[in-house]
Amino acid sequence: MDRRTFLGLGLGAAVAWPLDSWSAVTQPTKRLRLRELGLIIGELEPGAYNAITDVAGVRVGHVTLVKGEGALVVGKGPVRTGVTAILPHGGVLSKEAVYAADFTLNGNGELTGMGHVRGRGLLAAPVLFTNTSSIGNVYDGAMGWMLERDEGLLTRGDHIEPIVGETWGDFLNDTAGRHVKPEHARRAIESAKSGPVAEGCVGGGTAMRAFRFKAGIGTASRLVPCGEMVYTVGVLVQANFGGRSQLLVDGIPVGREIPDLMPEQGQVGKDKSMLVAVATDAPLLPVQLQRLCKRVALGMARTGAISTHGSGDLFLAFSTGQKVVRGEEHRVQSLHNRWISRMHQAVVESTEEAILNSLTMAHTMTGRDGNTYHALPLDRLQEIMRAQGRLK
Amino acid sequence: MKKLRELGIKVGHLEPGAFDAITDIDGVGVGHVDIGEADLNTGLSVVSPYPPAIKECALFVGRWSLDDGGAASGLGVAEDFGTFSSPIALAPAPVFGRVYEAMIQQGIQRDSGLSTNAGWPPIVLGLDDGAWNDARRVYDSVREQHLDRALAAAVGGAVAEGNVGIGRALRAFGIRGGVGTASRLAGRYTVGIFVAVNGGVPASLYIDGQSLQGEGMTELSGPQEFVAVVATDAPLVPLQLRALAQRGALGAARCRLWNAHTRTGQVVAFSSVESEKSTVNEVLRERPYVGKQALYTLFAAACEAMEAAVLSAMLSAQPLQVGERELGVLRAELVQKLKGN
Repeated sequence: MDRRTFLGLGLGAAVAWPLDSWSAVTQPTKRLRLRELGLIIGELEPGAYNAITDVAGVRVGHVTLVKGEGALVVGKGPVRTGVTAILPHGGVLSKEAVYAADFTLNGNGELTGMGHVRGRGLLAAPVLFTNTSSIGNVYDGAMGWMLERDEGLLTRGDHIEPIVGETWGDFLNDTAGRHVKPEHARRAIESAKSGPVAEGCVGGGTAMRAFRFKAGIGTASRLVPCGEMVYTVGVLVQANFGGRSQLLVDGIPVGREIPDLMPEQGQVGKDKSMLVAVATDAPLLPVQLQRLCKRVALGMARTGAISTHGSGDLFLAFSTGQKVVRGEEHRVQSLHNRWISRMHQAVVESTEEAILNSLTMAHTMTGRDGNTYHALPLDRLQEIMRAQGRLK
Repeated sequence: MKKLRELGIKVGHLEPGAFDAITDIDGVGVGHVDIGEADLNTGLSVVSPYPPAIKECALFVGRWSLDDGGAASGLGVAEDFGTFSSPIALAPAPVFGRVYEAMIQQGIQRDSGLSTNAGWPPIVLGLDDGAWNDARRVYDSVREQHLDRALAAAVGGAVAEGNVGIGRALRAFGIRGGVGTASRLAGRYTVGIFVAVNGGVPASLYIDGQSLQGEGMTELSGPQEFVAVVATDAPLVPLQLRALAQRGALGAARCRLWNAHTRTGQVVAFSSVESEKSTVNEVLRERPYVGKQALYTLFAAACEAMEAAVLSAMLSAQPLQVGERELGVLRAELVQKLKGN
């Protein structure tokens, strides 16, 4: 009896197959992005890298900590965690702020350092994503890095802080072992670069899962024609939410077609989180960026998310379209609201695709106590989409 | 003449504008209509951000509210988009719907498509003036044409204060409240405030940090609320306008209009600099951005102007007699004893 016949009998969920044979059967060695699988989300064209880094100046860096296997020994591991850093531009961030805004879809999470964003509409620091308990160390490392570049940071009274968000990755990781250190944040920032962005089990997304498949970091972008201008919208997600039956790919209920490959062994908490950074080079004011932030929720919803009680669904958007130099009178530009709906579309499409990329790019990962999140099987995804006429 | 000027009273450090009123902001008009007499004292007040002849003009706006500010319309859109294009009507809460309908009819004349850049959604802010009225009669008396009259009366220049429009049956600090206005010059910009004073614990009014406690300030009836509109010609963006509204509220706290008993407070702040025009085929709009130092001077101006506007409302009020009940007023002698005057 092959696997598909077995599933056809409805027995898949009830029987635990040996982990190794599952991996052998279901894991293509190569992980691919959604577009590489022939699946297209939405109507707008992506940028060159189909990544948040398509917004000129934006850099992304990951530090991925994967060490050890077997039974959990607190302090020793296994370690499955990391840090992802997003830098709005290559200059001194605390001296050249960019406009920003945020939106909380569900508040059960933490995105710290947001006072400057919420009070003044300015982002003047790196944005870092990590796992839940590591916010303090990441903040500390980022603050040290910022101080080296701007000695007056703590004396000017600007109250600029690093922005650090978290999602819960305890199923695979030795959370109590405190493995993320300040220098990991620093390394993530220092390794940040433009160009292609690593996705899946990297950086802050190392231990994360979505729809009970392995997930983590995902990114996508869209080009947005506005009159004679073409702006770019880029999205990066740290996806860690969703029940299996909820998963939709381009509207197709893929999750219901793959009831097997559920997380194995330990107890998986039901409620997780979603961090999203949206970048654009369109000159937008904070009030407009907040509207973009809200549309992240729509992109998330298209993948089937319902934003559960336990989820910290926290979104941040910034515009690199103009820099705000502290204390200087200047002129400010804003996109005419006639074009804002198209920006909304770009955010929705990019968010949806970024989440799906986080799934298609993540590989099966076993962590502490043999706990395993399986990767979304790409062959079966393609098969389902083909059966629905979405793939030739 | 403005009562504060007549008495030679100065509040704070910054200089007032020509009218010491919200109308010192170019284009801003204030109109009142009084409704009823003898034992019915109600009315409507309108702050018009620009002359009604202008068909389409969206302005940036921000707001501060305490406990969501009480009855209000139009502010959801205002906060999401950061813009509005409607006159701001202050009305008795029971007739909120009728005033809203009248505003819609006015708005349709501007743009039957009810565009957000041409009058929709109307901003109506409700106040409770029922403690010194028969609220049922207030409900029965206010008509849609009253709003039309208030709008038609909304012009620049000197502003009537005290017991006019929505200010006719307000109670504050144990005596009669009302509506007041003031302005302050802040560098090259001006900040103006219009406030409906309908709260304050009896005999707890403070101006410039000094108590204005006097005899007869004992009347407890009436709500604890205030509604204010802040206008500036500084080209502020929505987040800055929200901060400006907060500083207006800080002025209300300094004079203790906002106090521990306050139920609702609402401050709506707008910039008279047009945000964008849908008729202009542009992708980007450029405007000057007000830096930190200038912004803090505007904050100080909003705070001072609020305090001055509250005092101006109180000083402009007349005693009210309804049947056997009497509502006193703030005596000018008390105010003239303020240090620095």
